[in-house]
Amino acid sequence: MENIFDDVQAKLTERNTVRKKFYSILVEALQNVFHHQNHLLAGQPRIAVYDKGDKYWLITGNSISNNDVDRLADRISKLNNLTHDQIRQLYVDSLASTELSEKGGAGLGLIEMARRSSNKLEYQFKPLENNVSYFCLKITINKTNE
Amino acid sequence: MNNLLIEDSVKTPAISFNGQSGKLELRGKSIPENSLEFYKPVFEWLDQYASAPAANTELAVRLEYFNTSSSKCLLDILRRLELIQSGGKSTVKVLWHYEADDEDMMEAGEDYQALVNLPFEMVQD
Repeated sequence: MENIFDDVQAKLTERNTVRKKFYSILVEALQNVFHHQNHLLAGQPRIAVYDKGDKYWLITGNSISNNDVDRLADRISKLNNLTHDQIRQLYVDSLASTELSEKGGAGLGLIEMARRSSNKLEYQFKPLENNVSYFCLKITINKTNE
Repeated sequence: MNNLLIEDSVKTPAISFNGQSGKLELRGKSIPENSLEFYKPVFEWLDQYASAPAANTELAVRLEYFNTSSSKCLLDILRRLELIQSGGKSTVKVLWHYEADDEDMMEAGEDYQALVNLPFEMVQD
């Protein structure tokens, strides 16, 4: 994973704070894929970064059990309906009450990405075989700090 | 007691905890997938330090960024410092460093300040 971070960092030319923002989101997105990708399920994990002029798109993909689809969709759409301050409060409340999972996840990755991104998270589920879907997540990062 | 000195790595910060002076520092990046593994010895050291702390304990947080897994461990470090403070044997202070235009890091410091009962000094670098 380290090589991906270094490669991306070498390509970003924006000022430091946008780079840090991008980097933080990248870390969360990749570590979510790392924690949630089930290697027994179909669908290779993927990550792509697109330079879209005034913003970047960070897109990740991983397989997910169909049992988890509704809950995940629900979490994301709830986040998308919150203001920045509400997301921040949700993060703080969750941080205070959460315990680390055995894999080290804090359950805060989505909230953190929503908070840092200041744009709605976009997502899609594509059904595969055997009660498995492929989950794509797109995070939009503005190149100017706002 | 012995100092805790851990060199920084690609994903983990440098830890310099001095049991005599009470000066504790976290410096660098904290992005391990499983932060519990990394921070376990830090917690253990703090638990030991708590039994005989320096008169003044000062934690300097100088992190470029940290992942959400680490954010939980950071909170656990601060909670331990809270206990040390309420133990009455040491006055505790947190110095939260952030770069001049890094609003995210500044906000993170404010979040922790709201969550723990410790004096925080926000330091702009």
